[in-house]
Amino acid sequence: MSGPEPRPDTELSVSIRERRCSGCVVCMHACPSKAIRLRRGKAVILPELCVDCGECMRACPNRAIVPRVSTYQDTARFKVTALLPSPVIYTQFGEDVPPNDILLALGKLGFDYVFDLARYCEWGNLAMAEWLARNPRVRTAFSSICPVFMNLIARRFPDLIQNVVPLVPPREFGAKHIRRLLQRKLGLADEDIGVFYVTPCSAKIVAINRPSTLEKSYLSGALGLHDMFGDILRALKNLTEEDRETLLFNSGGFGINWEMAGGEIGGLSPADRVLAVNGMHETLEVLDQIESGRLSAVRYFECRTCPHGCLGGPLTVENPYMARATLRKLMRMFGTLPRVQPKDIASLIDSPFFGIEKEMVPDTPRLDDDPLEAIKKLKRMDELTNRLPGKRCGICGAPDCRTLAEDVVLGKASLSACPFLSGRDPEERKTP
Amino acid sequence: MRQGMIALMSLFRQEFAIKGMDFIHAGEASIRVKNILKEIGAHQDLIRRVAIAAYEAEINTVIYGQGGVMILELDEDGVLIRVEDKGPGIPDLKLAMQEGWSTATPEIQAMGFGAGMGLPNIKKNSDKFVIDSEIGQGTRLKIFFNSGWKGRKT
Repeated sequence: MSGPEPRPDTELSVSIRERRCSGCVVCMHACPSKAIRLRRGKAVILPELCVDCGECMRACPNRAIVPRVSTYQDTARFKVTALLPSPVIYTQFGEDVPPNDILLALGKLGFDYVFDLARYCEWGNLAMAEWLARNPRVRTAFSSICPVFMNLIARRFPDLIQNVVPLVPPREFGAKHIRRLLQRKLGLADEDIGVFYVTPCSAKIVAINRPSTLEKSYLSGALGLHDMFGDILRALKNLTEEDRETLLFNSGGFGINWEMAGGEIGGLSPADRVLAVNGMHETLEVLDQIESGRLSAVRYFECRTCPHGCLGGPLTVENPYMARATLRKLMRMFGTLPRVQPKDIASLIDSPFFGIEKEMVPDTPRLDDDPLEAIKKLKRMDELTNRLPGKRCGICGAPDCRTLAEDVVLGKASLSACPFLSGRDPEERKTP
Repeated sequence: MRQGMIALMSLFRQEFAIKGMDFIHAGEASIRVKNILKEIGAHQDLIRRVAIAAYEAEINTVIYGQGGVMILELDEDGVLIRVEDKGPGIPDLKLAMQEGWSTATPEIQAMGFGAGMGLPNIKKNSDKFVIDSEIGQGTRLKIFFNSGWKGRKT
């Protein structure tokens, strides 16, 4: 049971600008994974503990934590580029800007093709409904959409890996489909085609660099919604009536709604018990309950760790409540019924098109590879924790006393880092 | 069954208090037990079995036992969980071990508890299970899980 290769910190979803970091420890306390430490007065992220949720980035008062998303330069190395923006984008420009205008504006930014991911989300819904119908005995199955949720499962709930549905998210099979279309149409090699997601969160970039259920992502990268926001605004102003004759948006309210909290289960049969959970704390609570054997009557969980679902992602610009109001208006305009019918994708449903390519691997941090050694370390950790003051001051560089004790036991920190303890215990101060 | 229960020379021991009829915090002791097993890198199957059995035992203590204590002990052979309460006791253990048998009130059942699967579930998920109950004195559970830790690196 060995986990995947440890990732370097250049593969985290965020990076810390050391010059801007004041060492205030706000991020360290905001981190739900206890993955941040202070080293020489600056915040550092431990890649083996980080789940890429972006809470630190939201919390940082100094704007020292920035997402590690793709740049326009990254798109330049491809002969042809296609964009596949998250449907969240349709809610970001107010209720008077039609989805088609947003896709057209993206096309004006120098990309060769722009595709409507909401349409692929409708495909995803049909694939999901079909999977549930073909597996009538399945209970407590999980959506694979949210990469942070997938990280939580791999790191903290490895016994629930088997509950994740063996389907890839729409952004991935969408990119696969786009690659097939463009290869056929343009006669290009796969490596000449760049398919870029436009993302409301930084976690997707990690899911592209290290996909948990694919050999290799079909996406070439992810551009930040926040980075493109200003350029899209400008391009929207310059759209002409002639531009608007091109229709790029070809889904309805149902597809637009898909990446919002509850969007995914909205299309599943009401006869199935399905739940949408959003928010980090709420998701962790539900996972703990499922592990205790509870909630077992529920067939399917859509879990997203951001509040409001992807619409509340850390890289969104619009206030999420306003974005939801816009979404409601779009759903009134376009209707809530799916535009894609099962017969439209019947041949794909019976092919491996929607399926995962490899199994998820547990990646659980542990005190020691030998359980008996781990128990000894656990005992030592408890003894140390009892001696520490329990203040959560953060001065030692760890988020709480138990975490400092763990770091000491693992040889990553010294007990003398505790300002309350040093001076009282000369024996411990000797340790390096 | 009773003779087989090992009185452990435990490598690690921790106690968790359980409060009677406190439905807000019900389940927290078993979550902490589960998280300790995760920290030491216990196998996923072991974690799942312990999580379910400990939760069922904890809920019984909350609902019927008027509160009590959960004691986790780890040793070379496995995981021992003891749950002890000073509640009213179980009049007929044989009956209580049957699936679906429950004395839960309609109010408790309305909260989703008391389906009569608690004790059978503990038995099903553990490797050794001893229950001892005396009317007016309380109930004591010993739940043991083989770990296969000795000489194995995960």
